[in-house]
Parts: sequence; structure tokens; C-alpha cells
Amino acid sequence: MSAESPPEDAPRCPHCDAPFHTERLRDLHVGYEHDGASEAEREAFEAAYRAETDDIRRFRLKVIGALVLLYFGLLFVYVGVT
Amino acid sequence: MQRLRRRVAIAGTLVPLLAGRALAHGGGLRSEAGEALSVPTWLVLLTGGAVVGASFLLASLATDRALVRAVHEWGVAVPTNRRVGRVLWALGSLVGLLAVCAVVLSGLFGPPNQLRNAAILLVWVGWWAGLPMVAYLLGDPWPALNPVRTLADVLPGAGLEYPEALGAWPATVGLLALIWLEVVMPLASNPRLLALVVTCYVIVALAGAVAFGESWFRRADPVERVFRSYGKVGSLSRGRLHLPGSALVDERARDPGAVAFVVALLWGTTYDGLVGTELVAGAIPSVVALGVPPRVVYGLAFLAGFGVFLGAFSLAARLARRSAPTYEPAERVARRFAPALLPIAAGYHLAHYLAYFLSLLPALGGAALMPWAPPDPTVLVVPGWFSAVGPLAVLVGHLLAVWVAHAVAFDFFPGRLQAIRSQYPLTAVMVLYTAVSLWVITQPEVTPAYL
Repeated sequence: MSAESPPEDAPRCPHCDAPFHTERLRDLHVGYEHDGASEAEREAFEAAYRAETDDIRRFRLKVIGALVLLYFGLLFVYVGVT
Repeated sequence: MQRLRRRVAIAGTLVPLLAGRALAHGGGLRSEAGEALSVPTWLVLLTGGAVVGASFLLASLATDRALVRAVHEWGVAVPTNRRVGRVLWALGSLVGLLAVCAVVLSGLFGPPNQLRNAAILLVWVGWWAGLPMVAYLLGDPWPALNPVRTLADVLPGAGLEYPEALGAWPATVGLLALIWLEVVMPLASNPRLLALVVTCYVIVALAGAVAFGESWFRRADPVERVFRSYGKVGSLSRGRLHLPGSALVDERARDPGAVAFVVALLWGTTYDGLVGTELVAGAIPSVVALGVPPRVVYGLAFLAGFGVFLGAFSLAARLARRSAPTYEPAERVARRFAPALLPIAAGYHLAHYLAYFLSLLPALGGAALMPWAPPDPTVLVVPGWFSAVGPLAVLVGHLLAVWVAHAVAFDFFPGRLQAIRSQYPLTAVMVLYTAVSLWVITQPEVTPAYL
């Protein structure tokens, strides 16, 4: 995935033409940044927000896993060294 | 600077100590604490890095936009009174003017002993070590004190338009030049030279202020910009008392060169400590042996390090576009996130200078009150547990930076996960930098080669 320049068919904001990598990010952007969003755009925003919340729930599990790993990793290093 | 500190260490053993009680107190604490655990340096660095990494992970659990915004928008209005404000401002201007006169006069005619000379103590202890602490712990005091501003106010302005393209570059170059001068010239031991440098700066800044008016102070003056940047870390701004660093969330490094300025501030404090480590002090002579003059070696190393820092931050901004992902230009990302580096600079400054500032405070007081006949300098000896303040300040600075960057990302990106993912590269840079700065402050300080 290239981040350098947006491809022709990148999802774009209908209000300010800003390009996005995914439609979900576009829908979120429209909901946050543009007051004059239509009914359909509001619905798309809410759907995108809910989908993102599900992803965040999974992401949090990974974060907690990483914290536990970090904690015990350091603990073992300390036990080994001192 | 380094030499002043060395002298202080010696003076601390010779001068009759007023600080006997503080010393005994510190000694008492140490003996109570029992045998200290000896932890190898690499483990200290690893732990520091891990703390910063873990704080990023913890911050990433805060994904509620309203919560993140509420934290940095929280604050209480400070009762202000226009008349009291004006009196305080006038008082500050007066103090600033008197101080700069004292610096120049006692620099030229005062006692050559650095611990009794008001110029050296006022500049290094008061202005270089102490005032930034006021700025990043409270708020920016410099506009009220700045003698150049006071003088420029009474002079007629030329009303020239400040060249837009210059942006913050004069401030960046000026800051780099000041730090390099501080390292390679005996400015902390030669009051005459110091008075000369201060006079030169005042003349240049006054010329700039007369030519461009307020734009000079807002954009081009390095000193004014340093204090304003530190002031943003503080918890007092726009008549409100808020959490430290909150003002940074709405800050943007907008001027051309403003990102470079923030990086220069960070690199400058690091470099000052780095030249006093055994590794650097040992490496410099081998380069000088190749026939390069020492001052050039220090200058080149200084510029190279600045390039590395700026490169690392720009790389992090470019990688953030990928990891987020976003099509926002890398430059815009860098401008938005650069202010988040300021708490790191502040934490490092505190780690580097707090003990130095406190130990020389009585000497500064004596010399500032009686610059013509300063009393015998008294040097406070800070208690032993004080050595923990340094690493702690570095860590707290990084934690604040992680949180500010988190809040900025939530303000900048539409997606919450996108905001968190955009922080991976910057957090990696911060973890590395924590390790580097912890390494510098835990090294025994040696006299820099040739200086």
C-alpha cells in the first residue's frame, strides 16, 4: 500500500475532496468535519463509528497482551540480572 | 558551563557550607534507605524505554474522543486584574533592564571570579538554568522581562514587513549559534567575553525589533521563541490554569523552519550534556589529531547531530503517513506533531540543570544584590537522593509528550485507530531518545576536551 500519493479511485470527501485510504475513514471524516452532511452520510458515519468500535475492542486485547508481555519480560530480566 | 559546574564541585568542599542541614538531612535519608540496588546502565536505559513504550500502550486505551478532549480542555480561570497586570509587567521590564545593565557592567568591571561575578551568575544560573524552569513549570515570563522589548517600545519602529519566507529560520540559526558559542567559548568563566556576547545579542535583537516590530519577537528572536516554546509546556496560559502541556495540543509549528526550531531546542540541551560524557570527550581528540581545529570539530559534530535529530523526526512523520494510513502531506503531519516534543526538551532541561540551579542560587542572590562587592559565594550541596530527580524528569517529560501526541492525533485524524497507529513511529523515536538522554545524564561528567 503506497502512502505517497492517492490513486485515482481513492475514496474522496464529497465536501472538500480530501482523499482517504478507506471508505470508513472518509465516512468518519465527513461526520466529524462537515456540518452540512446529508442523512445518508450521517448513517454512513454511524455505521463506520460502530465498526471502528468493534475493531478497537480487538485492538485493546492486543494492547493488554503487549503490556503483560512487557511487564513480565522486564521482571524476568531484572530477576536474571540482579 | 561545564567548567563552572566543575568549579562548583570543588568550591562545595572548600567554602563553608550554609547547607549543612540539607546535607545532613540527605545523608540521613541515604543511610535509612540501606544498601542501594545496583542496576547496570543498560537495564536503566531499557527500563526507561519500556516505561515510555508502556505509557503509549496505556494512552492508546483512552479512545474516547470526548475524554481526550476534556483532559486537555480542563482548566480554571485565573482571576486577572488589568491594573495589577500592568504593574507586574512594568516591574518585570524594570528588573529585566536592571539585570542586563548589571550583566554588562559587572561583566566588564566586576570581579573575575566566576562564582562572585554577577554577569556569569545572572546569565547562566538565572537566565539559562532558572528562567526556563519558570516557563515550563508555570508560564512564559520572558516577554515581561525582555530588556530588548522594553527598549524597542520606546524607540520609533521602522515598520518593515517581516519576510514571510524567513519564518522561524533566523530563530533556529540563532539558537544553534548561541548553543555552539556556549559550548566552545569560555563564556562561563570569562565575564568580559560574556558581556561582549550579551551586548552583541542586544544590539542585533534591538535592530531586528526596530525594523520589524512585534513580528521580530513572534518569529525571529531565538530567545523569545525558546521561552515561548517552554511556556507552552507550562500550566498557565491565556489567563487559565490547566494541566501541563494542554496548550501544546492546539499548537502548530506553522512558520517555515518552526519544526527545525523545536528540534534544535531538543538537540541543544542534549548536546550540552553529550560533550561532557567520557565517550565524546575521548573521541574528540582523535578527530583533532587528524588536523581539524577543535572548535570546528565541535561545530561539525553539533550540526551533524542536529541533522540526525531532524532526520529522525522527519522520518517518523513520513512513516506515520504509512502506519496511520493517511494521504496528509508529511510536512503537515510534522508541523502538527512537532510541539509534542517540547515537554521532552523541558524534562531534559530540568534533569540537567535543577541541581546546578539550586546549588548556585545563594551565590546568584548574593551577586545580584551586591554586584559591586559580592559576598563570598555560598554553594548549596544538594542531598544524595537528588540524583533520582534527573531520570525522573526525563521520564515525566516523555510521558507528557506521549499524552500530548495522543491528544493531537485524536484531534488530527478522523479514525481513532488511525490516530493510534499514526503514533507508532513517533513513539519508537521517543523510546530511543529516552534511552539516549538517560544514558547522557547517568554518565559521570568530565571536562570536554580542549574547552
